[in-house]
Amino acid sequence: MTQNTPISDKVDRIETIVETLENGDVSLEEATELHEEGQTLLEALQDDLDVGDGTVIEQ
Amino acid sequence: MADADLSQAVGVDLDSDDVVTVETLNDEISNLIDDQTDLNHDYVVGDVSGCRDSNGHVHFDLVFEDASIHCVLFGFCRSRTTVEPEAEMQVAVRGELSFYEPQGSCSILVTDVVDMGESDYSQIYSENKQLLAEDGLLADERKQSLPELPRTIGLVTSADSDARVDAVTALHSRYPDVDIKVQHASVQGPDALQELMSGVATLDEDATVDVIVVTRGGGADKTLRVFNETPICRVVANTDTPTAVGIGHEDDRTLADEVADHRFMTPTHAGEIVPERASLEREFEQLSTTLNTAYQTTVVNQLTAYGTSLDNAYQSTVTARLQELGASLDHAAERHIEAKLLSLESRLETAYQTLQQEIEHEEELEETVEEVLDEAETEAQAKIEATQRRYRLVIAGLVLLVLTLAALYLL
Repeated sequence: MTQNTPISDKVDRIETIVETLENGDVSLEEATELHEEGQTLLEALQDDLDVGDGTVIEQ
Repeated sequence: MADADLSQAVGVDLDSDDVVTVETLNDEISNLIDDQTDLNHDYVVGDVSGCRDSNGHVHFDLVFEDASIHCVLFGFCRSRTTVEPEAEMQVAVRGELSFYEPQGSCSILVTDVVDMGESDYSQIYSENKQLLAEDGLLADERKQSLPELPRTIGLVTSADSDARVDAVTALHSRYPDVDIKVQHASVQGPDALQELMSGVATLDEDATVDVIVVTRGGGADKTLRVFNETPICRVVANTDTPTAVGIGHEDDRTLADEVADHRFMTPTHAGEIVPERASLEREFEQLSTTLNTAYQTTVVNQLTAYGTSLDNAYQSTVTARLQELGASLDHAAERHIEAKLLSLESRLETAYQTLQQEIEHEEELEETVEEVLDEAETEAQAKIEATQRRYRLVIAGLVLLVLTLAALYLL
């Protein structure tokens, strides 16, 4: 996933990661990798929230 | 009709004696209308516009081309009329012309309504809609999705209108960070069509604009008609940038609404094209918590499983080793016991043999003793018998002596 990936796709991926972890059918190493991927996506989502300065430009 | 006293009262020299207040003018207009019988017609024909129910009375505008007049059908007259005025109807109304002095407005107090069929504008509206439909501009398939989170919104509206304030406020109340580029356009009047089209086109060429919003506040139906014109509808429909249109009040519908990718009801509802930042933050926070909980649970479960496996492996190893040691110990003990038993058996055998020898020796001794005893007994018996014989001899001698003595005595 890239920074341009839609927010909904990132959210879907995180929910898939959560489901995978909750199913419990992953090794400790895989769980750590999935958790790191989820954290990276959450950071990207936080970055996505900062869209601008809220300025109003009269043209 | 001039109010000479007022000309002095205002304190400013107006260089005229003919100065009146609004109240006086409205009173004069009212009198004029009341006196002018030529203004009373049997019916007035026009299109119904802006029809609304208020406290049981029906208010609407009677429109013909660019002219309109306000009409009121009071509640007590509604039951007497066979037809109730509705939008898109052309009607003929009978009633009394009335001047409302406080507002200086003229109205027809309607007593009867006759349905004249579909309004002229309704026919134009239907034709425009048909043209747009034939070109596929009303089809849902061609509508674009709005961006999930636009960075910059292009807003086409009247720059000094309440609609502009409402739309900007609504957008920023939900998402304060979003930038808004406001493209001014008249939203009614002769310049409206051109300025609206130009505004939308300009924003569509701006690569930074993620979504174009066209909006204006409510007004008489006639003032909204520019948004039913096919040129503006085609511009809105053919933009590369997604569009959202919200015109008038909740129940106002225009063709621009229908060709846009998204319709919102009023400028106040413009905020719905952006997500609520606080809600998104809560959702992400919840996702983060859920992710961490799932990870922690997985890690704990995995570590517990590893611990259990480790314990089991340790237990198995220890058990096997202990079993080996036990077996070795048993074997060693067995060998030790066997050796001990052999030793004991040997000792026992030796002791037994010694004992046997001792028994045999004792038996021999016993036999010897018996023999000695027998010999001693025999010898003692012999001595006793010898003694007994001697005693018998002595006794016999003594008896003989006694008898001799007795005989002697008797004799």
